[in-house]
Amino acid sequence: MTSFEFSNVQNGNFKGLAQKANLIAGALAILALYHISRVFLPEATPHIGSNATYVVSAIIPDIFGVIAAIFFVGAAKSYRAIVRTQGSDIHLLILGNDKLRQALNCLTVTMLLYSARFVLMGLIFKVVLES
Amino acid sequence: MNEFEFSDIQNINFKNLSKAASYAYVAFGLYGILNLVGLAGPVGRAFLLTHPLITAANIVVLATCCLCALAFKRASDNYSQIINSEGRDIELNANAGMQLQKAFTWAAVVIALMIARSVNFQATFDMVPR
Repeated sequence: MTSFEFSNVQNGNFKGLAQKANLIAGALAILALYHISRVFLPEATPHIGSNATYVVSAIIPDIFGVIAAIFFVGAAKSYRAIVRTQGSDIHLLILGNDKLRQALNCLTVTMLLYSARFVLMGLIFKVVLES
Repeated sequence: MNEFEFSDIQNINFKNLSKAASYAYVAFGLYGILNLVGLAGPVGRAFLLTHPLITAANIVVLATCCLCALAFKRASDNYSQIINSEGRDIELNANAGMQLQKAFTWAAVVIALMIARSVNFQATFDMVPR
């Protein structure tokens, strides 16, 4: 059972999945780096709310984003190993799937927190509009 | 080759992955809906008249979120079918992988748009008609 080998076409699919997992990991890392850089550059900090508000609303979702990025890279490594190695494809698939599951859970938390942030920003804009 | 069947323990792995993909579907769907609400709300209407480019950017985020959520849903469905079906496990896994590739591409676009929006945040705030 465990000596099952994926075909070249299926290996191509795993290679593509690994590339896309790295792509989303890179995007999440850039988003986190951008928000962190703004915290350490006071002149670039938005005028809305305090710096602490900004840290809470932008950095906390990014912490989950960075964790998701780490898991995405881990999953990508497992999927790449499927293409490179022989004899342990199923084991590597299960390992990669497990990391992907953790990455998706962290991505979900990140998006939910960003949704909350979006609502918060919308309310601030509304107050400014009405005043 | 294609008649390979995953074991019960391996099926649990796919079941959990299916759940995680469905959660991602809900999260991206919610973010898209919030963008739609934002577009239809007073802030969105104000921007539509004064800064249509911002409205256009929000529509792109909305459309991309919908595409991403749809791809996550399809991937989730394919993974859940692996547990219930027989003789198609490898084919369904490949289909789910392709859907996840699409979902990740759209998710990366959503995140790129979020970065662009974050960069323009202060400028956008200054543009709010008062």
